[in-house]
Parts: sequence; C-alpha cells; structure tokens
Amino acid sequence: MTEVRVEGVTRRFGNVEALRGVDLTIASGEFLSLVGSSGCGKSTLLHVIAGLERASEGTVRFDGVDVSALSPRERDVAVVFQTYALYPHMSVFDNLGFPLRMSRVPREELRRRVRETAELLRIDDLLSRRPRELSGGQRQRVALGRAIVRRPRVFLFDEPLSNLDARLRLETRAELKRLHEQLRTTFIYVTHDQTEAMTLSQRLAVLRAGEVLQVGTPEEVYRRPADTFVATFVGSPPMNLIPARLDGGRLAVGGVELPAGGLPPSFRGDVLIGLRPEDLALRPGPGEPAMPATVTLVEPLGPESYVHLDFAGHALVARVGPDVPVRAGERLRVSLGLGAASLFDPETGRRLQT
Amino acid sequence: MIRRAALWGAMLLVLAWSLGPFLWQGLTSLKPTGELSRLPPILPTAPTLDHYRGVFEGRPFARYLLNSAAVAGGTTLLALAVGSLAAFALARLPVPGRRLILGLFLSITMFPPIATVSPLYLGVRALGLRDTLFALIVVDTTFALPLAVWVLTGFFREIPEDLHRAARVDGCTPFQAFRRVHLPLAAPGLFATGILVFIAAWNELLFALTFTATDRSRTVPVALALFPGLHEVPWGEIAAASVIVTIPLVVLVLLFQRRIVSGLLSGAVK
Amino acid sequence: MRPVLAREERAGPAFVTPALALIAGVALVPMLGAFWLSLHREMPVFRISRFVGLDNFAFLLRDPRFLKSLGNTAYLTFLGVAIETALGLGLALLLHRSFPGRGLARAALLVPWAVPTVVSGRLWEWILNPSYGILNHVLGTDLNWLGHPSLAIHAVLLADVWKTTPFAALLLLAGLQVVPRDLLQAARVDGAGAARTFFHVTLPFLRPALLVVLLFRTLDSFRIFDVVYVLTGGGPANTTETLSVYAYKLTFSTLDFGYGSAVAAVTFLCVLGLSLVYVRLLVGRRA
Repeated sequence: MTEVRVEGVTRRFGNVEALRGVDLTIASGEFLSLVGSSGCGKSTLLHVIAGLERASEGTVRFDGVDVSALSPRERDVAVVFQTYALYPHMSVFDNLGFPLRMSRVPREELRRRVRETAELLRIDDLLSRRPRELSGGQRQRVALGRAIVRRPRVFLFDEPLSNLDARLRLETRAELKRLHEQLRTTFIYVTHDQTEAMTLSQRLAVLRAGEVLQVGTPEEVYRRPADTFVATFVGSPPMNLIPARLDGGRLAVGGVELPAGGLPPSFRGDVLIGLRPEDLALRPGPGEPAMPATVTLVEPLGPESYVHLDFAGHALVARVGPDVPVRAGERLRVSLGLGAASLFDPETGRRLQT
Repeated sequence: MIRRAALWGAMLLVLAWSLGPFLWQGLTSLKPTGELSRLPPILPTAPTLDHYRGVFEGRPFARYLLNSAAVAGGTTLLALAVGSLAAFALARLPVPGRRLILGLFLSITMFPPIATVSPLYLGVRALGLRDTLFALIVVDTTFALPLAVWVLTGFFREIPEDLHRAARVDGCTPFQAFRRVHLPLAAPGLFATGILVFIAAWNELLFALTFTATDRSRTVPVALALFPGLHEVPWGEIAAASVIVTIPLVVLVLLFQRRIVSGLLSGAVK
Repeated sequence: MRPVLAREERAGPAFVTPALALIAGVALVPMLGAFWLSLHREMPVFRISRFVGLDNFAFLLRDPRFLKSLGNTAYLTFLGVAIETALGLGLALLLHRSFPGRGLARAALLVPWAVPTVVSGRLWEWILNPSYGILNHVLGTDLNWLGHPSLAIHAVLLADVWKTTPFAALLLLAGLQVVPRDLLQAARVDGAGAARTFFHVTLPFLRPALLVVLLFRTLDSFRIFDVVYVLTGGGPANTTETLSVYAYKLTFSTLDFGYGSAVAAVTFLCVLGLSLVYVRLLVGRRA
C-alpha cells in the first residue's frame, strides 16, 4: 500500500527528451494506467518508477521517501514485462521462487509461498515445466506469479497483455482487475490500448511525447478531454472534431448557423467542436436543432452501427442503435448534441471551457 | 546429372586438397625408415610403429603434450573467465567509453607479436618466470582476449534485455545476474569461444619459443619446430609426431565443427 | 547529479577491469616498450644502451635487408590474400548448397586451419622435399622447392594459402547466407545465367563479408611468422624473410633489441595504415 509520487521527472537520452517534467501522483492502492501511443514515454516512466532507469532530473517518492537513488530491489517493486522475461533455463517453480531466493527467504517459506501463488494463478500443475513448454497464457501467468510471490509495495505492468490473442486478453484483463481488488496494492499499468486502460483503471494518465496531457478517471478523460489528442485517443470511434465559429449565442458550422444552446455565450472566435459519436442523433424530433447531412457509409456491428456522414464537407461518425434504418446516400437531419460537446482552441488543441 | 557429378567431383577435390597432405604424412609415419627415401612405393609395404616409438624415446614427448594441454587449458579457462565478465559488462551494463574499449581490444589484434616479444621477454626474465608455463598462459590469454571478448559480447547481446531487467527487479546484483542468468544462457557461446581459444593457445609458437628454455616447460609446437637433429632429419618421427598432434585436433574439429563455425562467424559478422 | 552511484554503474567498469589490466600490462605496455626500445641502441649482451632517437628508422629505410623483407612480406600478403579470397569464395559457393555430408565437408575444410602452423609447416616441408618429396615425384621434377632462391617464396605462399583459406571460406560462407533467396529466384526467372546472377545479385551482398575477409587476412598475413620460420627460417639467402622473421632474428640472433624493435614498430605502423585504408573502404561503401 504505497503512494507513488513522480516530481518533475525528465529523462534525456543524448539530445532526445523521452520524459519532460512529469508530475504524477498515484494514490496508495490505486490502479492507474499510463496510456499513449508508442514512443510517448510511458515505458520509460515505468522504468524510472521501477528504478531500472535513472531520471536526468526530478525525484520519485514512495510514501514521501525519496527513492530516486535506490535500486529496484531496494524499492520493493515488481515488474511484469510485455515479453514476460521468464528465465528460460529455470523451471516454473524456480522462476517463481527466484526473487525469494535472492532475498534469502528460508527454503520452507519459499516453497510455501511459491505453491500458494501457483495455486492462486492455477499454474500449480506446471511447476516442473520449462517456459518453452508453456503456452502464451501460461507464461503470462508465471510472469504474474513471479511478481505476486514477492508481495511488493508496487506492481508495475509493462503492456503485459499485448502478446496475447484477443480472447485470452479479455479473460486476463478480468483476472487482473479481480487481482487488484484482492491484493489492494498500488498497480501502475502501461498500455497503448485505451480500452484496456478505460476498463481496468481507477484513473488514467494520457502521455504524449514525454508529457502527461491529462490525468483523471476514465469518465473524466472521456467526457472532458484536456486537448484534442486526448479527445481522439480515448474512445472508439474517435471523437468528431469540426472547425466552427462561435459568435455570441450563435454557432456557425460549415456555412450553417445554429443556436449555440449549451455553449458559453460570452465566447467569440474560431473553435474546434468535439462531439462523441453517441451524442449525434439521426432524424431527431421536431424540437431539436438539427442540420442536414448525407450518409456516406454504414458499418453494422450487431448491437450498434457506425454511420459515416458528410456534413458540409466535414466527415462525422455517429453511433446508432440497431433499430435505426439508414442507407448510404440518404440525406437526413442530424442533431449535434451540443450540450455534451467539448470546445478546443484550433491552434493549441487545448480545451477551452471548464 | 552432370552438375551432380561435377559437384561431387569438386567436393572430392576439396577433401583431397584439405586432407591429402595429412594422409600423406600419416602414410609416411608408418613407413619403415628405409622406404622413406624411395618413391615409389606410395603405400608402406611393411607398416611399422617404429617412428611412433621413436617420437617418445630420446625426448619427453609426453611431457610436451602435457605442457601444451596445461597451457591451452589454462589459457582457455582464464580467457573465458576474464573475457566473459568483460563481454557481459560491455553488452549489458553501462560502461563509460565502451566504444573506445572495444576499439582498444580490436587494435591489440593488430600488434605484431614480434613487437611485444622482446619487452615481454625482458620482463619475464626479470620476474624470474622464464621457463614457466605461467608466463605463457598469461600472455596467451591476453592475446586471446580480443577474440574472446568480441565473440562473447555478440552472444551476450542476444540475450533479451528484459531478462536482465527482470533479474535486477528480482534483486540480483550485477554479478548475481551474470552468474545466475546470463552465464547459463550464454553457455553455447562460451563453449564455442573456448574451443577457439584452446586451438589458438595449443598452436601458439612464437611466445612458447621465446619463453621456454628447457624440456620442463616446452610445448608441442616448439618441440616440433626444433625437431631436426644436427645431421640427419628424422622424417619418419616428424611425421609420427605430426600425426600424434593432429589427431586430437581433428577429433575436436569433427565433433564441434558447428560450434566452431558459429563462434568464428559471431565474432566476424559485426 | 546523484551523490551515490548505483551498483550497476559501478559494476560495469569493475567487470571490464581485469581484461583491461591484462591488455594494458601484457600487450599495450610492451608495445609501447617496443617503440621505446626502437629509439635506443640496445644490446644487453654488449652492455650497450643509449638513446639514439630516430637513427634506427633512418638506417632502416636504407637497409637492403629490410627492404627485401618488406617486399617479401608484401608479396606473400597481397598475393596470398588474393588467392585465399578467390579460393575461399569458390569453396563457399560450393558448400553453400546443402547436401548430405556437408557437416563432414566443413569439418574436413577446417582441419588445415585447426592444426598448429608447425604441423602444416612440417607437412609441406616433407611434401616439398627435393629428394623424397611427393610433389617432385608427382610432377616428375627434382626441384629444390625450399632451397632455391627463386622458388622458396612461392613454396611458402603455397603452404600459407593452404592453411588459411578455410578461414576465408567460412566467412564468405556466412556472407553468402545473407543473400536473399527471392532475389536469386527473381534473377533466375528473368533468365539470368549463373555468372550474371553472381555478379549482379550475389556480389553486392557479399561485399561487406569480402571486405572483412580482406581486412583481417591482410592484417594477419602482414605479420606472418610461424610458417616461414618453420619452413625456411627466412632463407635461402633471405628470399623468404618477412618483416617479423627479420625482427625476430635481429632480436634473438643478432641480439640487437633496439633495431629489432624498430623493424617491429614499422611493421605495426604498416598494419595500422592498411587497416585504416580498409576501414575507409568499408565505411565508404556503407555510406
């Protein structure tokens, strides 16, 4: 149960800054994800927290204590790697017991803890096998087990599910969530998959080019993204972004004027409007402000469909239920659901309203 | 069809070219002395082991073999120990000036051995280590190190970096990680390197010639080089001695051909 | 930045130190010692030891025996390496295909490389023997291969090439395995014959391996000692004396440590120069 605080961490490789003045606090026992596309620095941040790499500037604190100069072992963290990093020349039992051996845990206790962990993860029948004899899912569990057996202060996960097939990934995701509820230890989880981050974590931090763009609950990040990158990164299909002009209480989008209901009346200028696909309504009732659009493509998914629209030269994607009959080429009215819209500065991409 | 035949023909030619001289030496070693000075016959009419006996009489050839084994074995162990440690560090640990160090190792291979011989000779004599195997082992190890380090660094680099990270997280000091994780996984590379170093040390001539003075520490290459008597050259015995020395090496090569090749290639393909 | 260096950062240099210590003490320092000696007139037996600056080098440039040994060395090196590479390439092409017994063939090929130079020296000495040697018997001649001033060096070349070709063959074999198969197939589909395929497809990919072979073998060959010492001892009439053999004789026969070191130093400088040329070629190609 450890609070992890990252303060002003910068990590430089020669001229390249992989991390730039990162400030982040992970509460004790929290499950927090670090999300972003590849190269954003999330793995580097994890390594710095783990003690595998040294920050060029800044500190890392565990429960207020500066651990920046401590080795991973001294910080008492466990890491689950994307490649599992199981020792090929050791049996599963020896892999699980290795960290305990290094800590000079007495043999009886070691054996007990290894067995307990193996039973917990349902790999107790594999203890004498070598990693190369195991399936991907089994290897992943051994990697998990090697972390769990240590009872560390902090669990660090570096894209542990990326190498699993889709179905296993879903199963293991659920197991990880259950594990967190059971162990109540601080989990810091790195992934490029925003769905994973959204479903697993209590809070997530979105990174880009070494900077933390936003930290918040999945709800916060989804509903009120801090900038256009976060807006389009989180959520699938991505948030629709349309350039528009706000003037007094009126919104000018693609040559069409709308009453800007729900948007701040005092603002004046060019904006980017962010609309979630599910906030767009097709063929709304008569009272709603709506705009004409043309359907360009319909993607049926079963429980819902994605409808691609052309609205005054802008491409939009709407999410509709299964009972809305739409055909490509159709002209219809679309309600933009401005009440839930986000406004962004077209130059900086940052969010405009609070 | 013709291509197959041509291929086989070429293969036989290669075998003859590579092994022919040895075969001839073997035949020579079995010929009675009288027949040595006459050609034909190609094959010995009355094969004899006299020459083999002669090799061991009049000189402590067994002692030479033992010395060679000691030098080659000692060099291999020392070179592997020192070399693997250095190679691991160069492959996986932060080492300031790594490129410079690797470059230094490489440049050592450019030294003409003859240049270092006289200062080393003077040094060895000053330390009173003349005519000992110890000096030879140390020198052979040093000159084997560049090759050993280059080859072993390649093998250590192939071990995934995450394994080292996992070892660190699990609480290993760098040396523990080396001993428990990297060394076992680099075993094939160590073996290949060991063979290469053994062969090189066994065959070494110049330093052995310079540092050994008496039969006490003489190695086989030196003995073979100094074989001829003052008047009569004992070709039969030379042939027999050559065969004795060649056979273990042939066996070594046959058994470990694949590893030798992998070791050589790993070092050269940078 | 950080007052306490992490264990990892301390371990690196520590692990490299034993190797560096050996290299420094047993190779580097003696090499520097050789340069130091070369600036002296050093003959311990006669109790002569004084600094003479670059006198040894000045003498060297006018020393006919030195120039001859330089010529011998150059001949053995450049011709030898050329032949080795060509033969090695042929062998590599041959062994590139997989066929039953390939392992055995490779092992057989390795044997000349694996045996001590003394053994191969003695081997060829016997084969080249003027009276009892099998070469003369097969050719029907009675040439004194190792004793005749104009023949000896070629005989040495033969023995050297025989012993070192396997190394070139192996490296080129590795280089051949880099050539992408689909390119070779495409060439065949396009109707290119074996020769054209070789020159236009295989050779470009082989270039790095070729340069590595040339580099290593040239550097090695320039310092040649063992095979010459055993076969001819540098004779007859110094026609096979290479730089290393000359240096050896100066040091251990004439006991002129100073001049011997000078010859050795020049050998090193030549090797250094050659390697720089080759590296420039390698790097140049890559860029």
